[in-house]
Amino acid sequence: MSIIEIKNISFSYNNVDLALNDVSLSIPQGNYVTIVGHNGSGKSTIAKCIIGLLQTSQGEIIVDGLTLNNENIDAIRSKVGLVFQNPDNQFIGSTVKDDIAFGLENHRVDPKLMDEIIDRFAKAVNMSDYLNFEPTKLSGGQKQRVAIAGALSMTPKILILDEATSMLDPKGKSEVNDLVKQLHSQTNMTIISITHDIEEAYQSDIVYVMNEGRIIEFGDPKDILAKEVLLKSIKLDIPFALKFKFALNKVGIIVDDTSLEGMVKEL
Amino acid sequence: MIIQVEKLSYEYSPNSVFAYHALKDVTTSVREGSFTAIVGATGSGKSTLVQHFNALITPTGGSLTVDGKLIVANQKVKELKPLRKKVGLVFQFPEYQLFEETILKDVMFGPLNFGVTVDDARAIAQESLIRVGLDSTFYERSPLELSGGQKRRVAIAGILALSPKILVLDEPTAGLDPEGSASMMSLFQNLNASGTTIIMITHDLNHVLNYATDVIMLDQGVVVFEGSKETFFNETDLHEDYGLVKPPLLELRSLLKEAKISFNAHTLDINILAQSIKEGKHD
Ligand SMILES: Nc1ncnc2c1ncn2[C@@H]1O[C@H](COP(=O)(O)OP(=O)(O)OP(=O)(O)O)[C@@H](O)[C@H]1O
Ligand SMILES: Nc1ncnc2c1ncn2[C@@H]1O[C@H](COP(=O)(O)OP(=O)(O)OP(=O)(O)O)[C@@H](O)[C@H]1O
Ligand SMILES: [Mg+2]
Ligand SMILES: [Mg+2]
Repeated sequence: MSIIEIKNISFSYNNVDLALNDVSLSIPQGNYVTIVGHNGSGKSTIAKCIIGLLQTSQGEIIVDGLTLNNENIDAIRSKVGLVFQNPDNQFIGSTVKDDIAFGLENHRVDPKLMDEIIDRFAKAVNMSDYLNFEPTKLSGGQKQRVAIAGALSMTPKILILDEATSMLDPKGKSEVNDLVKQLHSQTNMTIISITHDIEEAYQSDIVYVMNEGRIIEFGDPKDILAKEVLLKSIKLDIPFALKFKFALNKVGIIVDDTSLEGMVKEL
Repeated sequence: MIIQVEKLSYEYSPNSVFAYHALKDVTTSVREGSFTAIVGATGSGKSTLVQHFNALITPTGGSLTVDGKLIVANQKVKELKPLRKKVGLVFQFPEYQLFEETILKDVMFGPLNFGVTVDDARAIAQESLIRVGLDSTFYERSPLELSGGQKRRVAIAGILALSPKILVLDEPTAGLDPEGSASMMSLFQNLNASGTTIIMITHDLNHVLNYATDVIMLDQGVVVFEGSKETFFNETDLHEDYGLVKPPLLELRSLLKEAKISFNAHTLDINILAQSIKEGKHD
């Protein structure tokens, strides 16, 4: 079953250029999908359309069975957690703690449970020591951690991450990815991750490739992300493991595996 | 040394309950003409350190010298303008750097501020925008009504337009698409080759491997490594303790070594590496 169904939507910020041009997609419930595409290809615009922050000029968006319209917008927003590309655009509370609490209040979480939830998620992203700090006065990576904790604490049915880990150190990034994957398997949360990290896209269930406001490819990352000529022509790249595989092919060594470990074993 | 940092400390909101010592007694330096990467875990003090380089903030203890200009704790810096011209800093969040009504005006602001004529400033701005991959269709648009990666490009162009002697970049490729990231890195490399000192904060050890000459690593407000890139990568166990992970090429090299496969361990080029594996097989 699709948890998000987008049918032929278009969007323009200025009534001239189309930031989204007849986009359709269908995301299966419980999948971990990634969206890749060049700067300005329309990725963040899609995310904002899904939660009704931007209104499409045509087409239809259906989230968990509900068609996006004035009547359903609140119900849809309660199902979707979105971590913005710039975490500063997200903070409302004057402390990290208040900020997470604010989101929980909005989701009508029992106040008695709040402290426990806040502590748990602050700990999960390694920010327990900063609960009384002002979110806007943190380092870049710390801001991203707080924004992620805020979205996760509401355990939304659908989580959209818009380059949410772009400024984390690699270890922090993999810790957050593990946390997301854990919630994903425990709660069957659907994850949509917008990313420039081709290695991350390589690990997802489905990858969508955007170019100039359109989705031009989607499917299994093992197939899609092997299309070197196509991807390079739209400012993208292929995963390192596939670069190695192709380099071996070029000198006449054929390997079947698609992971570095596997290929080295075959050599 | 173009920058010398001496026992520098920095405390945010001193004398308040939120007082926080972000840098503790840091002594380090940057070689003139180097491409110095600053690495370290989230919150280790990288952004705080580089904001001292153009006196955006000044030490609460210790001092630093930037191209001959001494900046001492608790002393107002006089004549900041020459320093601001010499040291260009691109912020971690580009939004905070963009404020003019149009993109072209935004990039022209720096040169105009330093006394360049309007015509020259426009020419410089156009040239800078081309270098970051933004064509003339962007000139009259608002710098705030852009995608994340486009904003970062405008912010970088604004600093390039100053032709600074020292270019300081705080995670300049975060949010750029793969082609944008690669072309930005080669732009910085070209500037470095023609004499600009580059100081770049990054979490991407691939960029360190491919472009840097020197590395400074911070942890919890303290310098835990400084030296050449080669030394940095040879002491590989350093990385994981400080939030870092090996770049894929080095990961591959370790796997090949473990499997006792002979290969060229010096090349950064994947095709040369593959060729060397093939040749090794015939020996
Ligand atoms: N607030 C805005 N007003 C006008 N145009 C905008 C606005 N935000 C984005 N755009 C334009 O819409 C297009 C799509 O932008 P979007 O932010 O969706 O791109 P993106 O794929 O998320 O890019 P990035 O990887 O740089 O974040 C771009 O051409 C951009 O310039
Ligand atoms: N404006 C501020 N007020 C108070 N504390 C701050 C402020 N900015 C940063 N800090 C604190 O100072 C420490 C160092 O922050 P800094 O921004 O220098 O880290 P960083 O190494 O750049 O991290 P990141 O990789 O996450 O960007 C952090 O613990 C942070 O919480
Ligand atoms: Mg975006
Ligand atoms: Mg920083």
